[in-house]
Amino acid sequence: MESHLLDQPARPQSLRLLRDQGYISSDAYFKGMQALRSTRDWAQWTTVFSLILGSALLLAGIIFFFAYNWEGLHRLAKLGLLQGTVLLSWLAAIWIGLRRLTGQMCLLGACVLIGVCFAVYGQVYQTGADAFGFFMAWSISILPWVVAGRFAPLWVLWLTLVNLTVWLFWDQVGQFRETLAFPYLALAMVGVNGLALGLSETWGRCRDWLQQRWLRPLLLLATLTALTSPALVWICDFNDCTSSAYPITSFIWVILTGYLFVHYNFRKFEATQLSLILMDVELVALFALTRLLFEGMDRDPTGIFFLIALATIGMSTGVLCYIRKRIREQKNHLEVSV
Amino acid sequence: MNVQPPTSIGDLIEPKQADKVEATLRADEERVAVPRDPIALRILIGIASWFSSLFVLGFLVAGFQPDEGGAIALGTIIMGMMLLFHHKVESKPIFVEQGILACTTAGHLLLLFGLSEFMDGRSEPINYAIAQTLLCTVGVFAYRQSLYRISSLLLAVVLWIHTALDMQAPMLYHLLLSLQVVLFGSLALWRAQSSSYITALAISLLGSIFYLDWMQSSLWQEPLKTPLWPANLAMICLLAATVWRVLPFARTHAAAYLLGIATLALLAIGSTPGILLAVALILYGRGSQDRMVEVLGTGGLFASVAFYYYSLQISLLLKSGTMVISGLACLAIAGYGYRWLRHQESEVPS
Repeated sequence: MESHLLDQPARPQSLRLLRDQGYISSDAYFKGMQALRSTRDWAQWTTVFSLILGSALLLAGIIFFFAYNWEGLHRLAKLGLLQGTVLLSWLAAIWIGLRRLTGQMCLLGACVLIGVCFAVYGQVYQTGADAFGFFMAWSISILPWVVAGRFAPLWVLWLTLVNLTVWLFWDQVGQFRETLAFPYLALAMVGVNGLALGLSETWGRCRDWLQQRWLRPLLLLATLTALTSPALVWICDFNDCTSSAYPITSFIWVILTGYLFVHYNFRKFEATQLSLILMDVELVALFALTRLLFEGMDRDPTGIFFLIALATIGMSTGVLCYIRKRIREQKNHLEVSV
Repeated sequence: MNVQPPTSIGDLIEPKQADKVEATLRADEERVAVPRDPIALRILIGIASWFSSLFVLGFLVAGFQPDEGGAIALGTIIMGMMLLFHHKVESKPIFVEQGILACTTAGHLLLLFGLSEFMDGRSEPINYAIAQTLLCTVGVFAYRQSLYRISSLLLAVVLWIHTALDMQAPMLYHLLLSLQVVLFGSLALWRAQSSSYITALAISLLGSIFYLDWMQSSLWQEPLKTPLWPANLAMICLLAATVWRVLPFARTHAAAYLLGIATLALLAIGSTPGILLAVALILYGRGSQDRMVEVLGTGGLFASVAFYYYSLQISLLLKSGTMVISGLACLAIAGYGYRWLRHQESEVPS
């Protein structure tokens, strides 16, 4: 076989393609795939996987142990045991080093256990505190470790706690005050997640540990979800949403979504983020169209269903075509610059 | 450490197929030059299409308000038209492609409803299952696209699984599950079929297991009592076959392989089949570099482990003890793995 294409080392994509076309037998396919993954690769993967699964099980076991609320164990023993475990995890993280995955997992464990400490404290002394106070105390107390850890999942845990604090504060305190309508909760969550997104886009660009591909789309999704929900509520319940906060947040939705579109489309092209933004716009447009059709067509479902089906397909096709066009343009642009 | 030269494609194919393979690879190189759509976009476009099919269905039902005969007639007309489009129109714009998917799904559901109502006038799960089996048999031959065939097959599997559990017929359920295992094993491990079929089968297997878990749990009004050992046995067989086929060292260390499988079989007696299935999927996905199956397996593993501990009929204290011991066992494996890797690194000549 003279051809250089056949002499190239087998790649997973080409093996899959040849398998799909029926040009290689299943034995040859698995032989090729096995050659691509050495025993060392398997060992490395098993080690990391066992570390993550083991840590999750161990933490869940500790949480369940304290949730059992063993009466035979004195309250001081409970708190002492937990604080000892936190200290041990923290010392292990320092000893192993925060640049290694094992050390980072130990720190993550210590951060989770701090929350268990607060929960057990509330259980033992029956403080009667609101749930948002628990999450707030937890997020504040682990902040120094989160900053020191430089570990993206730890930041995601911290952001989740902050979001929970904001949500529960509104749920348990805020919504009973007339001045704190639902859109303000959404705006607060947009502030938290949007700030994290902004920081990861600017400051995080030159930080290795913030370069995970999943992080920015996740932060954008959280921001867009919080930003869009008041607009959707307003569209659905137009007559009942009398608070002026709804039009204000909807206006902010227009401004921020427009800014994000310009940023991810023209300043720094990211196809995934652009897809999320355009799909968000499509969702709002569909809700608005449904509302208008219901009002305009005297609630006749037949025509509404048909038009909504057409609109859904039309808009998603439009989004797909536009993003494909932009990807092609971007690729051509890069090739010309090279 | 021995460093083997990379395996070339030429080593893996029959010499007589060299020309065809080269042409395929060349065409693929040109195709790869066009970048793929982002995964988020593909998922959202898929959701939009299924979502719009519900609106099309709503339009048909609200507009025509068909009885069972009408539903059969309308469903058949719509599906027939869509099949004609499929077979006769070669190049379709995306809008038309999406519209065809929505209309095909709506027509299919209408026909399914009409057929199941027609059988004896009562909407029982078994009527739906039989009707879908008929439609699926026709669909496998009529549809050209794998997406339609797979979704039709998946719907039939789901309906049969639901029927078996609804009829309190555990043996029928286990028979269906074993059939799926045999299908997955033969297509994924011995026939090396294309990724879309394997992904669909993986989803169907996970779905069947989780459905049983759900119906056996206290979340269901009347929890089912179904023995798990047949499902566990089927999953151990699948796992053993996956390890044998995918892992490079299973054949060279056959004694360790047999010992490992026997230990797992003993451990699995009181376990849930979801864990074994998820491990098999992870290994298959990892070994054949099929990211989708690997992600499905990983999600399935965490969900199965969580569900296993949730449904364990022991006190929280014992549960926590079991979790801590399992966690420490996993960490011990990780520790051994780190040592082994360091040892290997130190053996590499500088």
